[in-house]
Amino acid sequence: MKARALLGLLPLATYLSCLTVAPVASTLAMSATAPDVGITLEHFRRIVTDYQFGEAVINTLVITGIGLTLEMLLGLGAALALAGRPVGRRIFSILLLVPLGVPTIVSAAVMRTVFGTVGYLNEALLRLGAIRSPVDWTGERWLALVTVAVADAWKVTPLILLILLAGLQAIPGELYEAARTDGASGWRQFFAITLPLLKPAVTMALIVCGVDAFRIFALPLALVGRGLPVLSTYAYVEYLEYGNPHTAAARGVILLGMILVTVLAYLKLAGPEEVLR
Amino acid sequence: MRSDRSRSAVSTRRRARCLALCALAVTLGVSAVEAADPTLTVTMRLAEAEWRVIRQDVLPPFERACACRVRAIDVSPEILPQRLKAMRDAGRMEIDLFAQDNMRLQELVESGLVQALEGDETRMDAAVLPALAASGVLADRRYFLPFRPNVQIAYYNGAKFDAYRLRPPRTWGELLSVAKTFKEREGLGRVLFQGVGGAPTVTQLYEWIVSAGGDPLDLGHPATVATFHFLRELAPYLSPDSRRAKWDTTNDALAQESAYLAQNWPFGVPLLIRDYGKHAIRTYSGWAGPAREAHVIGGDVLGIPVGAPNRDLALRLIRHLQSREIQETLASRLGWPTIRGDAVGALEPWMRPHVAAVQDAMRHGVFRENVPYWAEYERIASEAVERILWRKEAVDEALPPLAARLSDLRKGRR
Repeated sequence: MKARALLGLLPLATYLSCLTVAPVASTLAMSATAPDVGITLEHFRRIVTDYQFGEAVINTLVITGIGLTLEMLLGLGAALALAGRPVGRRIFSILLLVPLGVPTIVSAAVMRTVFGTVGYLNEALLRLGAIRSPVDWTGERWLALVTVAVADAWKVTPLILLILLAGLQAIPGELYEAARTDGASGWRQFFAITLPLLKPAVTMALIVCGVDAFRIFALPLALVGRGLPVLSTYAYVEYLEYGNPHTAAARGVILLGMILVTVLAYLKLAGPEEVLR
Repeated sequence: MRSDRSRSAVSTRRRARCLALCALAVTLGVSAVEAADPTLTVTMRLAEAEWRVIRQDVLPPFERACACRVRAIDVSPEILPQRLKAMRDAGRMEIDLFAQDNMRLQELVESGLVQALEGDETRMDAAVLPALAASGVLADRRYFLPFRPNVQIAYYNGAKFDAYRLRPPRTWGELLSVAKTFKEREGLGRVLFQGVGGAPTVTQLYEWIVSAGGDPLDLGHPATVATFHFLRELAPYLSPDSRRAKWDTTNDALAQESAYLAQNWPFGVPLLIRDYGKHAIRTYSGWAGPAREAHVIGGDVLGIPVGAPNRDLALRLIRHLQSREIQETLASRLGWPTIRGDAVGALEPWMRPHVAAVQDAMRHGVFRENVPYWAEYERIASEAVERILWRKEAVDEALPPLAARLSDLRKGRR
């Protein structure tokens, strides 16, 4: 019986070994070795002393922070609206979920037509008389970060909406009925029932979308170029432009480390049972 | 009953034998076809539209003439050395011929990845332009043969220039003046510099430095420093798209009219004018710096990897790619400059002024020095542009440490 159970696990174990453990181990090994030298931390030293490294870390954190905040607020708002079963719910659901089916590189191209100097946003603001000349939405660093975060929110919010909507639908309706009977206001119901019971879904959404935000790649590259480095594009440029697979691997390891630290810290704060539940 | 069983067993054995024979025949047949129809693997880095012409118009005549198949795959110049190394180390070279950026040849030669060509193999048709025939020789040995020369020309939006009564700039002073005029009139800069970093930026920077009389590989050279001072002065008047502009996005900027003047390779001519219908786009060779007019000659050369399985066939394909017929096809369909002086007959009339601009730019052509530390040089030069143009750091503060890094690199690698 035990042998059969182990045999049943074999495909999963093979899959994880070949497609997760082996590539990660190989990346770790590449990051800490160099041809003709052997084991070395030179790649990490080069990265840490690079003038764009600190900026890439900060940019990644800022985009993640702004993006996640925006996505959670919009996703929660949309989920609450749809959970109330409004008229036209089906159409709204479909429209809200459309960006989820758009490949990221296509969404980046779409966002360029919105935020470009000759894009729709500038055209609309010019026609409304709100601006006198087109705004370069990706010209200054902080404005570029906000632009990228907004573009990312367009793509990711539907996923958060789906997770939170599922969480909302799992909350028993009797709890709200009891609260209404006791005279609780809408806000009181939201803070006393909805938010606490939605915590596992919020945790899941934050982890899934947080990891995704850390790995953001196509949007900053397509919208701003290499002038706005984030950790993923930073590794990409090292690999493709300069042909340094070892330094690129070291950059990937740093990104992996940041993701692990953030997820573990969040689990420590939120409690792992929220995810395992 | 027993005899029925034995008859059935005999019949099963016969069927099995027949099947085995059929399988053998199929295998032998396939092997025979494969032996009669060898496959040549070629790598290039091309845009989608370029691949279409190569696959539809360039390779089929060769396949018919040589009774072979050509498997053409896209490999970027940065990745090619790694691929070749991996195949060589594995003892299984699968690439027969590659087209490589003429600035990334040193590494291939230094690592022993490319075959030297000898005797008749180095012979070239008399129509190949002498300046191009001279390239491809490293350490006094010929390793590469010319395939596709390239030179950047200046594209400008004729309608916008006419509307503002401007002439295309011929000097740095006129360029600055044109850039200022657009910025004042439209609120945004309309002159594009390919400032994304990496190869596009360094190619433009290289020719600007040479046209100022500087040494691009010496960031401390007075004329190199002067080039950065000029770029710093020009930066506020450049198109905002400059910061993410590279070869392909420059075409977008010109097509969408977010830029009115930009330098780029000639592949944009058929794309912008024939495909996008942007008939207001005109071209000329570009502007001169304080010392001279200079344009980097880029492009791809052809090489045969060490251990290539079909060397003779690869050499025949090189001759085919250099032939007048194919060079004319590439010039007329893709706007590629040609390696031959006799391959301009098939051009459509609308392309002739643009080809004239290319030939004019070629006359001021300069080859970049092939140095083993080119990838590192690109990184340092890109950092200089990023800091001085986009982060607005003072030239005298940003440049000296980068010049020192580059100087160390030269001393260490030469």
